[in-house]
Amino acid sequence: MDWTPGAVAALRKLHDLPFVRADSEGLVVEFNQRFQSIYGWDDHLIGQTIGLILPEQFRELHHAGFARFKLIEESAVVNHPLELATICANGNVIRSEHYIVAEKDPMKGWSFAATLRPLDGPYGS
Amino acid sequence: MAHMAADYRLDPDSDATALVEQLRQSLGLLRVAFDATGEAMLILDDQRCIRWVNRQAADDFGEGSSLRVIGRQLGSVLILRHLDQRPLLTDDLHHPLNQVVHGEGQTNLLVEVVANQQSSPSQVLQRMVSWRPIVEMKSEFTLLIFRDLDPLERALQQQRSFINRLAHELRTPLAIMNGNLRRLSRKNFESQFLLQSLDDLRSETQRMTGLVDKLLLLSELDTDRYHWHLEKRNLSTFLLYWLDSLTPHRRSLVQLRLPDASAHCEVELDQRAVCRIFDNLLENSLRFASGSGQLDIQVHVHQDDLDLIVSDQGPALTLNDDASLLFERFTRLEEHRDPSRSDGVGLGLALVKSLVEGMGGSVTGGCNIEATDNEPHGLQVCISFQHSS
Repeated sequence: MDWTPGAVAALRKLHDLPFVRADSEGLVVEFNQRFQSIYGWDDHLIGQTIGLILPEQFRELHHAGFARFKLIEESAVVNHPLELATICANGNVIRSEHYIVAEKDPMKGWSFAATLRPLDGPYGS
Repeated sequence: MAHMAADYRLDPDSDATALVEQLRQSLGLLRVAFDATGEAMLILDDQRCIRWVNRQAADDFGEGSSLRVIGRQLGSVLILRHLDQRPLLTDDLHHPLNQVVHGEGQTNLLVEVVANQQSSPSQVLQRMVSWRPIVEMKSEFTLLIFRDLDPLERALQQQRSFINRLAHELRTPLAIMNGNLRRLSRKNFESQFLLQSLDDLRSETQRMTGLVDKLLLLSELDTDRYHWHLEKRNLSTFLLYWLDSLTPHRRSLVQLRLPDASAHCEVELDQRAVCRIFDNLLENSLRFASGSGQLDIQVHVHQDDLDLIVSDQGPALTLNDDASLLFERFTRLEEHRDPSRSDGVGLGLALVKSLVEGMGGSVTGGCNIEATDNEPHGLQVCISFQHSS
């Protein structure tokens, strides 16, 4: 298994890092203030596909990978840092380090959360 | 039925959700299947940017992570090379991404994975590379498949490489023999028998040299070691260049008929290959024709392609059943034309076929049926190439 119980809660505690969470359908269910201030997304993102924050050329990979995960519950992208271009609400791109975790709730099913560490721009580290 | 229709109207959202769920499951199943194969697959968009990879491609080209290759230009992820290590640049007409405009195909290549860090050495893999256009979508994509050679292909590859090395090795002693025989023939021998023997020896050595040269060329084509120099020119330029290279006597045997429609026909060909193709066809004509050895070349221009109909006036073929045998290696035409002539080695038409196909064309052959008497008169070869006008 590529997931850790309590992983999403652990990530959510990292208040200094932008945080976003998607449900089992890949739709955004929450993000924190840090994510909003750096990437510019507002509440309109809630209920939208998490693929929106990825560059267009990554979306086929995202959708296919998401669909595969639901079938075999394995992924090469979770539980380790990944450098990815991230799309801001205004269309700008910020190179960021994503750390994605997956967690399965007996009632609600899979949940996916990520912290994003901006590598470029005024918030870059 | 009315009840079902009413249900559909009442709950379109749930139908759409069910459809999305079904499509998602299908997509997941496809992804699982593509990830299970040992062939590395990549899909590129019309900007040559990698849009999709399977697990094997991620392992081979992205150190296990598809994110390392998605969104990047193909050339920044891997470099293709011919089997003799020459790079196959992205602007080379033989590059799969340029060949794909003509449809699907495959070739044996070396694939050098571009290292992510300066310190790590580049990995080079030999792969059968296939390409296929994906045109049924809104924009154009290309599927590239990189397959490891199976044991049979590997054995064939080794055999062809062996022939290539053997032909190279035979060239040197043959050249020495030819030189010595030339020197000997300049001496004044009184014995007619000795002179005749020398003459026989010289012609036999020349025949062997011709055989080795053809074998070498064929093995170069088989093993992708032939250095193509494709150029886009008017068809007549290629044909007239070949005519100019002939001796006046040989040139007088060729009747070239270029229609007005060919004036603006541009084709992508290799001039050396064109010369070799027509040299071989003219040699055949000279070998078998009992009279002058006339070679007739007619050009027929169609909308997308053109045919070069090459006819000789030799004896009729007796290949009744399978004309494709003409292009098989070591099919000696004399067995099908005139048993009294036995100086051919049976590689000329095989070479013609390999050279034509190497330039993206096709070739067929059969009897030359004269309209005047409706009787077979010799060999007719039809060579087709795509053109742009």
